Amino acid sequence: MKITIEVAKPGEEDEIIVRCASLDERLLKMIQSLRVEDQLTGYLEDKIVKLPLKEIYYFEAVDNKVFAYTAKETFEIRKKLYEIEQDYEQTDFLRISKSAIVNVSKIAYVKPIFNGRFEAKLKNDEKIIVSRQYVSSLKKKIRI
Amino acid sequence: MFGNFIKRFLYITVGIFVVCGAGYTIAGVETVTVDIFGMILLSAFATTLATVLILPRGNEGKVKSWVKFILHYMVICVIMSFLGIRFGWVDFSFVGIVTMIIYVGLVYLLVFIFYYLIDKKQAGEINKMLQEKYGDEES
Repeated sequence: MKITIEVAKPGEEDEIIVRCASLDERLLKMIQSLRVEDQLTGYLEDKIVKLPLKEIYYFEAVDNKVFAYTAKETFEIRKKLYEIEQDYEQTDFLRISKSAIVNVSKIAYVKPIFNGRFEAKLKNDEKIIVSRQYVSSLKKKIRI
Repeated sequence: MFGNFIKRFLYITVGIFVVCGAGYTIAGVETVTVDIFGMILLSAFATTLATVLILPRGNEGKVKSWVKFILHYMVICVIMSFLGIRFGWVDFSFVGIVTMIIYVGLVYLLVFIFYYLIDKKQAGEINKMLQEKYGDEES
């Protein structure tokens, strides 16, 4: 694949043009990852905060609300869990249960627990449960 | 779903084989007929079906999971007591039924051990990949 970088004229918006004979899966993934914003709007009491994705450990749906958990704080996100799952499918975020999406890069280790579930210990010492049916997705995400 | 059924069927069949073998050995039985294989497979099929239908899937709450586990164990005991009496493995008596309940418990334990060993191996593989891919990243 040839990559060409051109310097834009002053005032011109940054633009990425993909020229291809056909859009294959590899190109689609690349385009998808370019489209994804690297931060999210979080709400904490009366504050509105821009959260960098890389600081989010996991999302959890509780009482019809979605919360993003960073190392030490929790923010409400005004999006549905399935929307977050779709938007960040090509990133390190992975659904691990009906109500949680984890940033796989924040998992320190996993261990098996009761009933075929796994417990994921995160790098901030929090623990989160990976349901049995999502274990294969986790393996696929980290490419085993 | 079908893959899950087959996996459980295999583990349960092996569990029943092992417990049957142990049971016959303790009872001092030296020869068995070929029918035993069909009986074991039928028992495994019936209990696997009950397992797939009743056992918690892993996304229920703690209380609901425990209720389903207890219900599952009771249903398996009923199925195996019925089949055990039909196949002549146990007598239709209090001692026979208690014996079957203990046998079911032993198969339960064996299957649990099989699953735990497989899950532990999977966890090891996952942890190795996590370390290789993200091990250098700060939290």
